[in-house]
Amino acid sequence: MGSRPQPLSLWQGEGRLLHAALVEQEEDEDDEEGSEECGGSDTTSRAEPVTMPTFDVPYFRYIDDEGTEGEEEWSSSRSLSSIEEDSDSVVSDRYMVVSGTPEKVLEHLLYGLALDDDQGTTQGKESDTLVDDFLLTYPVFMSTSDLCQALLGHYCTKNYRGKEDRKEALERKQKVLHLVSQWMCLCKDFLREDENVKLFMKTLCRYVLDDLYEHPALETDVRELQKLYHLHRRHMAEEYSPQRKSKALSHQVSLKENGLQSRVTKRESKEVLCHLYITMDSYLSMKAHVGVLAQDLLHTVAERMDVPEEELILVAVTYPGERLLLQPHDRVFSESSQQVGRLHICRKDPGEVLYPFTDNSELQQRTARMFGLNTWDMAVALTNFDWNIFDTIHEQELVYFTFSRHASSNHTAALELLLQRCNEVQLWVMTEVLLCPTLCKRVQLIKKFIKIAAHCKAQRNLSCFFAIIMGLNAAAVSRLSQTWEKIPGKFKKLFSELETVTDPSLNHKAYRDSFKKMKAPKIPFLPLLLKDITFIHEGNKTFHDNLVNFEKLHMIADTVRLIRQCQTDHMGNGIIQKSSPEVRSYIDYLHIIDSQQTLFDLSHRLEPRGI
Amino acid sequence: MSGDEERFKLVVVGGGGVGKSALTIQFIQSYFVSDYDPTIEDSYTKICTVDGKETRMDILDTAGQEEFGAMREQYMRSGEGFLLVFALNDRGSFHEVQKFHTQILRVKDRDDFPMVLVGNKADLEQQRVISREDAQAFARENRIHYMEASAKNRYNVDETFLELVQIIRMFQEMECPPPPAHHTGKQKSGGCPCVLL
Repeated sequence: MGSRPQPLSLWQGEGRLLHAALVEQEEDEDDEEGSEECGGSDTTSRAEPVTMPTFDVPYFRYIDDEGTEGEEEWSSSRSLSSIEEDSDSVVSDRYMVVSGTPEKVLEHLLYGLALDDDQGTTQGKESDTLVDDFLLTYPVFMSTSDLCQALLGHYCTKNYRGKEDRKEALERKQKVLHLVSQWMCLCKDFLREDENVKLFMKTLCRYVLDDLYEHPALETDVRELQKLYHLHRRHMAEEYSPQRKSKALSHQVSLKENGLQSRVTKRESKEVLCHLYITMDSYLSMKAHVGVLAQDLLHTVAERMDVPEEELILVAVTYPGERLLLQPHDRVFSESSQQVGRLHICRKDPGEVLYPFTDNSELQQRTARMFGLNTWDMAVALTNFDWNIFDTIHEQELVYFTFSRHASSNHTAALELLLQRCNEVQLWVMTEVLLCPTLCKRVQLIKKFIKIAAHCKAQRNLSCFFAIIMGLNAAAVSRLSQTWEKIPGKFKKLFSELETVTDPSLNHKAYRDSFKKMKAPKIPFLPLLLKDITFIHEGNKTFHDNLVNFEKLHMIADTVRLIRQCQTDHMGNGIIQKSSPEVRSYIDYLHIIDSQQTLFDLSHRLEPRGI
Repeated sequence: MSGDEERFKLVVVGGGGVGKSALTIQFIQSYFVSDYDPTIEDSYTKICTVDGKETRMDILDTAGQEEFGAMREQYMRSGEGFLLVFALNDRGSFHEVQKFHTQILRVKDRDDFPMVLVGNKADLEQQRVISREDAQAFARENRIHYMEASAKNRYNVDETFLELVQIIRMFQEMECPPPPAHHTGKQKSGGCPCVLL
């Protein structure tokens, strides 16, 4: 890559106001001149645009057009951001992208993009991080369709006022294609159903094919692109690592099992946690495909509850209070994967909703099977369950979750599933303990849960670990002082050790420290990540005037990249272990009471208040 | 010094969108800086002097994890004082805060606990749907203090947190009175006189 000023003239030619701010550290530390200096920095950065973005640092300069408005705008935001309390910034003589308009940031990024021969150099790595930051967080400041538009624009642009020679044009096109292929690899199947992306890939492929005559060198790129495009069309993920391959394989197997057509993607055949009420206020939670039929659910419940299947029916109670008897071949979820209503398992008795079990305690006798199960095996089954969800979470889900909370974008399915599971495990722990009528059995049960929590931590599943500890710590359980008194000292000590990991003091220091030390693959405690992103978002402006605050985006990207780090298994440490079918059949269908009132009532029944 | 330094864990609860995080950030950061990194150890810590005594506050805020009930309870367990935040322009958030009030008392297994009810978004007076009287009535009934604030305009932000510190001190003194020599009939400045009655 040479030092060509062309990309700059691109937008100048269009007469648009585009800024990218670069920061130069150190040399400028004592620089007070402010905006007059900008002209100078302007030329500097043109002279050596190879010096690519790096990060940190509060001092700004910008490679930019000569537009004076821009300078004024900039100096105003400069005053904002130069209020720096602690400047323990790392010594660096590199440039970094601090902010810029979305278009300019993209342009800068394309400009600095390393083609194959540059890869592996420091500069290449830095630009990789920048590209990654951008691709992970662009939804914060531009829509997917805007990005597609902008990329096509960069690919096709002809108004270089004749300055661009053939080689340079080729390089520009290759860079766009490079970025596209990186983008497609990054989103895997995440954007598969996005119409903008489909159209974009189609259009781009056509353009590249048209260009082949003039630029035969694009042939490798076009092949790569077609591969991506066809994969895209065929709804298959771009799979590289062996781990990914095995995922694809297991995916195919599960498709076969479902007898669904091969066109169905992982996302389309997505799973949900299905709640089947078996008493007024408790349900069985199980993972089911959205295409699940009423009879499948009935079969499972009958088996789990040890009740003849013929006696049961499935009733959906819709929001206005209507009851809908589901026929065996009815689908439980609508097209939009909404549940048809609250699902109740009832005994066959025309006209009456009658639960198979009138009382939760009656149920307990059937579900107390847990005593016979090995705690390590249970932790394995719990971890496998969580991992299968966690492994499908895409980094961007966290971005969408924080930034478009209530616009149900359908972009956060896996993330929400795991959060829901975490909540459910916590409630399940409470349910099991509180439904256990005799004190000595309750003590047994709590000891078992402490062990399972310890095993989950050992298996690096911090999501489930937190859920169990929080379940035991929940007020309705922790208030059972007679029960806790009987827990042997050894277990109490273990419990308090585990508990300290969940201590929120000093911004969850205990958890952050111990999680950092764990090897990947591992499952993080997601609510904390969401909190971090929320505060990055709330605590930092997305735009300074019209410029995207790229520092903020970098911070967000760093946080969501943690998901990727946790998912990759460099060392082959594998988190999935074989679990026994018996344990699995237990763990996959948790019985849960989700009413706090009921849980407290049970708790007070076991140990009345004030004794 | 650091050994006998006073430390309090203050918990900020409230529904989504009431401006909890804005309140916390405004309090932690005295002025706006462009890069607030919430992942480091002391991103939620602030040392203040209240009534001449230095205190270190660790703020636990559930923002971003509203859907995650378990986390809230975990925070409630370790909290020594609570800010119950609702938005003055959102009736739902006012009801929600009442539920959190019940939950805190349940978790603490007490009838009273240091809390300050905070009506946030006072800047949106035009859109107000919860009157001062309504909020005050709930506060009085539950023997807690009520304040209105605006995280956006930095109105009453520090005051709510400092008020809470004073209430916690009074509460803890009642619970476990220090030796008489130390007890110098402290008069709170502008606090609510009915907190512990």
